[in-house]
Amino acid sequence: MSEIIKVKNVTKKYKNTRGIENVSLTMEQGEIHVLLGANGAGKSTLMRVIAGLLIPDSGEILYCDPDMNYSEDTGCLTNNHTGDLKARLFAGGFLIEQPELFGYMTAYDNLLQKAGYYPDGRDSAEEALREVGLADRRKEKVRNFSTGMKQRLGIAMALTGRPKYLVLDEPAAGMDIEARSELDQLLQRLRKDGVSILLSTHLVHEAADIADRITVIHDGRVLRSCLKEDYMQEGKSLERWYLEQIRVSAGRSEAMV
Amino acid sequence: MKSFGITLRNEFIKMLHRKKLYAGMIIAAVIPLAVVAANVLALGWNNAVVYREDLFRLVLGVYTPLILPLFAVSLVADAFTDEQSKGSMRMTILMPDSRTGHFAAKVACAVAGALTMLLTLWTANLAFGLMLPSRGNWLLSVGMSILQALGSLFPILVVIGFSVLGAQIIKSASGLLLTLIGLALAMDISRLWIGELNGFLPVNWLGAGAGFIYLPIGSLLITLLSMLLWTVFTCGLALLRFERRMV
Repeated sequence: MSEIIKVKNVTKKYKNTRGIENVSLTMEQGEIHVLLGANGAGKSTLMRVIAGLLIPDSGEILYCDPDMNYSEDTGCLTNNHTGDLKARLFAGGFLIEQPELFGYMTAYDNLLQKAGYYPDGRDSAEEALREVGLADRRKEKVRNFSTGMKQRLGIAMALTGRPKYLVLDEPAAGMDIEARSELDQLLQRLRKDGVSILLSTHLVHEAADIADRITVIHDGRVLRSCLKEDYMQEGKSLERWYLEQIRVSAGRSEAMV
Repeated sequence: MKSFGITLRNEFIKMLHRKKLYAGMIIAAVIPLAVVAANVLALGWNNAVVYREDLFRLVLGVYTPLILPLFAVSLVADAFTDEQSKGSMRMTILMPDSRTGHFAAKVACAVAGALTMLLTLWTANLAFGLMLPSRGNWLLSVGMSILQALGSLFPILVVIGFSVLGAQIIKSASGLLLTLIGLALAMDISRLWIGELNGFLPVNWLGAGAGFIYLPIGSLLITLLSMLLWTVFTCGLALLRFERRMV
């Protein structure tokens, strides 16, 4: 599998809270990579940095176009930060926190805001609405939508343009059980089509159901990242494995003090 | 460049949904009629002292110093401050274009909105002016009114520049408006102390309406250049802040 996004030693600190420190991770093509951590662990900060909503204090984010050929010596092709950001945004689909769409526009018109950037944008917008089950509501104003419907429309926005990778911050928030199940099926279908997915959650069972790779983030740092098979070989449940990573990290911190 | 075209189109569509744009256009359409009606009501049809050729200068004297700047600030507040406070700025920034592209599109649409209001005022002036007597040089005055309208846009560019800069710092639309009014008052008061330099204060140009286009060519060019420099300076600072802004 080839890498599509490489996050290299990214740090972003806020004035009053921790942010993230020296975080590195990789999104592989056709893989569901789950970022697992408690509230305030730094998941949203990392996702915002990848999406270009936050400028990191240090480190870099490389976008590697999977359709391009590049040599083994150089790895990903890199450009300057701005060049990478536009290419990264063009190839990606993002759902960061609760989507705040334009309430005065219809569902379809909201998607057209993004669709215009792509040659087959309108078709992909129609397809995205069908995928999330909002095709029959395309002409309704978004201000009349429920929280769950807005979340689904946010996912449709991320899918518009047929992205090569998705960055989804707690995508199942506000959804009922049926909608969550449909979302899982959608993500599995996208993975089969070769789309890379980075998904954040604080719910261990959500990660267990869907992940190919899990990265545990705690207090702004990556504690461990491994494939699902690797932690399953240890013979533990994901919840136990996750809590163990936190405990080991706390033990290391105490030892340093 | 292509992505900027789409970004511009998106911002234009958003602007078309803004009620303040239409409110500004309605007021612009009504003002010439109000001036004509007041004149006729006060002095009677046969004693009208406002000639067709003078109407535009009169309405600009009302519209440009006060009404148009308020609407220009509102359009900028909608594009920046409102989107940021409602969270929809996040959706905008996630579109595949650079922050500079998004910024430039928002500023361009605010300018286009102000220009649309001026155009509405100019068209209404032409229409209602036909009710007034003419000194006989009507075609010439139409040409002058085009220059006056374009001239009126320059001070509004300065207002837009200050609004865009303010919008990067102030989080509410009403706060932005109050701050800019305070800034204008402060500039007005400072005229007492800064002597000759007061010619470069933006507040002077607003008060002139489009009267500054009657200046000698040298003074006119300096005035226009000063306004452009203020606009570039304020928008430049605003862009620097917008590029690094947390969304």
